[in-house]
Amino acid sequence: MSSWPIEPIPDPDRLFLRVLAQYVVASKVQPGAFRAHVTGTSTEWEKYATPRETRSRAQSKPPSHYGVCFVIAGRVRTIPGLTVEHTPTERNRAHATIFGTLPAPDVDLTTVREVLAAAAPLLIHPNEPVR
Amino acid sequence: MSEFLDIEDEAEEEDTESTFQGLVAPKDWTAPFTEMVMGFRPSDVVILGSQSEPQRDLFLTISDHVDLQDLAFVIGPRSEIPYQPLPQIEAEIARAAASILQLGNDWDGEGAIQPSEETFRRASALARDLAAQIVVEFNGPVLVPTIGPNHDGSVDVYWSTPSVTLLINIPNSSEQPTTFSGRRGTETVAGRVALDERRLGHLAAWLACTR
Repeated sequence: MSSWPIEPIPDPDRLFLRVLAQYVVASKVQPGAFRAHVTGTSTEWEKYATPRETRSRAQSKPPSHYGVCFVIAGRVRTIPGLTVEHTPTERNRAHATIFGTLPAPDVDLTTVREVLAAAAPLLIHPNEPVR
Repeated sequence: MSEFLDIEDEAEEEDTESTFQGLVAPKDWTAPFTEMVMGFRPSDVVILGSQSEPQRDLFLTISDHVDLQDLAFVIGPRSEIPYQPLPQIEAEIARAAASILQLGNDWDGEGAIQPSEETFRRASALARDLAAQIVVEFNGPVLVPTIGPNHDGSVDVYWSTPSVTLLINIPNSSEQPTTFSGRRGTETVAGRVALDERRLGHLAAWLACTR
């Protein structure tokens, strides 16, 4: 729980995602960038974050290993089984989660990944220096 | 017409089992054309005629229960000549090999599995075959996919053009199903597929279609 209020994320708003360099080919985000997450896929809502800030908050690897792409909240919601929720943490008010990417028999993860990859333009290429 | 009749005549003289294996449909089979083709090797698909001129004689071998009015193709014998390598595809396979086969475990810092060489080999073979089929069997352009790794050790083969997308996921174990999903405008295709050549024709057709 955080002290930040949970707000509705409007359909037109962008959600930023870090993308590991291995998932970017010819400046295109590959479907591998999206995978089954038990706790949902973490993103950052543009209302409270910039792409650079999203990149800087990388934890598993240094920020220089990542680029940043975005998806439109409303586009994500059109994919059967997926929802978008504002899930702020104490240290990150922008945190939002795409739910529905659980590994489950009724979820066609290949379709989900294909649709998300096609709808995720790259904003920061992994080759760009971290500022 | 005579050309196709010749094809059938020759086939009847050859080893029927090896040439026309799988041609006998269940008596109650009324599947649409796209499903019917899935059971055959892609190069077994021979353009026969338009929908307005179905060639009934050649279909009698397949099944009397298929609605010929819906068919524009007929299944015929295939050539065993392997496809010629496409330089563009080989370049992508080389790029992907240099990237994927040296990842090591935990390559994403979140426990990712190194895709096996066998998985990569299956993905590369699929990319080669499908791309070649588009060119050879459907007279289409060279469509170059990207080959990429996944967290779970599977490998993606991904076509993305302005008009069509197709993602095929090759699992890290050959015992798991290979799944695919694609879109062209409002049309979608998705499902599972066996990774032998005969079942890939419908995917090549999907990519090759330019309408």
